[in-house]
Amino acid sequence: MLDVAQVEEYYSSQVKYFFKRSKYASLNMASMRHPYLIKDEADRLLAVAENPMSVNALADITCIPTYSFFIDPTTNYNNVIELNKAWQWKVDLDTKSWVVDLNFKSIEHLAKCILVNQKIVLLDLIHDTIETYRRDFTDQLAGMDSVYMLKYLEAKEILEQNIKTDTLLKYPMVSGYADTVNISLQESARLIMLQHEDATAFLAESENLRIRFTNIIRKETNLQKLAGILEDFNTENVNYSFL
Amino acid sequence: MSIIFYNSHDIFIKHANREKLKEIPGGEMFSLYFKVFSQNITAVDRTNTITTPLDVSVLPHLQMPQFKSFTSTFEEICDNRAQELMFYAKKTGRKLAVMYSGGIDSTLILCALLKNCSEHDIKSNVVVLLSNASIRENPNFFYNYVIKKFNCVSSFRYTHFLGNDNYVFVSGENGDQLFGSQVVSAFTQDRPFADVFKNINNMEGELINWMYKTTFKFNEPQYTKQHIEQLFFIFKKIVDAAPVKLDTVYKFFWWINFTTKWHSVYVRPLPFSKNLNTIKFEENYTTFYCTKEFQLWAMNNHDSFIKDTPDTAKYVSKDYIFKYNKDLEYLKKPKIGSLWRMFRQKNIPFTLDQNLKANYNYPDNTMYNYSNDFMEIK
Repeated sequence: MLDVAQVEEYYSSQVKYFFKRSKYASLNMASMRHPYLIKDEADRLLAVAENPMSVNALADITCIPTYSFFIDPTTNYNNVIELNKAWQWKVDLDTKSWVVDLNFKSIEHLAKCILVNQKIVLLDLIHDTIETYRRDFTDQLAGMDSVYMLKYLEAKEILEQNIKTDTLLKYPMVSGYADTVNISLQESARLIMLQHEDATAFLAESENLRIRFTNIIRKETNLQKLAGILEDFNTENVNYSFL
Repeated sequence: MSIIFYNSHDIFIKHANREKLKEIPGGEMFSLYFKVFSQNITAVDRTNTITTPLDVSVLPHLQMPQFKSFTSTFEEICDNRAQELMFYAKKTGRKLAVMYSGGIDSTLILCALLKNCSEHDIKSNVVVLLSNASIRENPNFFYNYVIKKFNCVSSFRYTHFLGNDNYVFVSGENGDQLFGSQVVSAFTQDRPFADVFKNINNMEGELINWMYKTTFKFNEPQYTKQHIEQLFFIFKKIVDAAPVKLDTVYKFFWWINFTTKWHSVYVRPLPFSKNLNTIKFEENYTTFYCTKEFQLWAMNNHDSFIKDTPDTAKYVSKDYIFKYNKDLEYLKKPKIGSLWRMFRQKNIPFTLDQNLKANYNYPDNTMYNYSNDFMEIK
């Protein structure tokens, strides 16, 4: 078992490889925005994520998502934890509540906890970036998803059946669009199909990028290499477009 | 084997490769080029006045043409190019796949096709690749012409059209290099636009100061003003060797763009292609503006690039478009730009060699120029 000084010394030696983030979070369901937690098989807390997909990305038999953080009301702890040291917390099997526990089997054990902790931060950063870029398509008026889907379905039918006029308003979305921008029914349908194709391709690209980098992060075993993964992600995500 | 494309961002800018960059002779000083001009350029001097740190072969058809007097008008060259492309597509049983951003260069391509080819030929032999951003860039032209006259697909699919032998992939690349440089707008951000028409010899100090400030923004305090001064004079050497008289700041930037970026814009979409093995230059891939005729026109007409305000840039192209679509509104519209979207969210190799073989390793010493102008900067 490591003693407290060894834990602190190892932690301090690794801090230079950490990502910047808000230092503390209150793990109170009422005050914390997104309390997505991941723990190990021995019920030690490893990290707190802002995005549930970050937790899901690392979930396996040794890293388990969890959504509750209960503190024994009789103890003196408040429920504010230091995010980079989330691994200090472990479930006390007697009281079924989270307590600070610095009993680590070895440096390797502690290193693994720190690695998962920082992988979660990296995944959060990547998910935030992708979410921002997707906002062109995701931040919409209520009902827009249905509008786009209905337009697509109508347009598809019009083109497949080569329908030239909509005499009985069977296709209100495509007809309405044609009237609005002063083009024919067929042109309107072709334009809607083009926009559908454009949105699909855009989303597919960002989804492929997300999956590829999630896999890279999942496989990485070296804390020092995480910053390089973020640089690679930013390069592919945006830097080749500086023309 | 020498290379035709290099990924300048990853080689010269990326933080993770800083140590490897030290191994390229003159590489660190050359990295400043990308901070002044743009981060993604396969920079190579087509005039062979200077040598850059990586051994790049300019494709034969992209070599700088020998300067000579040339009297064809811009309109004639555009008309001929559209006719020639359509004739070639029909002759070889391919379709033209035209990248359309909604900007001036690609709008001109579509106007040239509409003006010079039959409606039937356009419907049967042309596919336009565009995005939502292209529609927003030029909505009038899109609703009045593009959706009515052309078959359209999403431009996100360009990675699969480029190199597909059933198509001749045509982009509006090289258009910018005919008329000036985007660096002009960066240079005039904090000064009157009229400064770009001042005599280059009286503006050397100003240009060096601007270049120094521009590189400093990249947090590169190790480079002094003396370094930047030497860098400036490398560029000046290219301009001084030009076969035409280049007396203003505007023409200085144009010539640097025309000589060192011409090859780059032609090859820059290639690493994104999913059909690298089947790309054939000038058979199934070309740019509308890469011909010798357009280049000779530019070299003979460098007083016709712009009038006195930024919105008059490329006025000869705008006149060509206006003659066809009569849309005054478009003439006043500022550039938005959408090509950058096509290069996002993808990974590319470090280099492509002359056989278009991709290399995913940092360039090694077989690709270095051990004698290059950037090594001289002290």
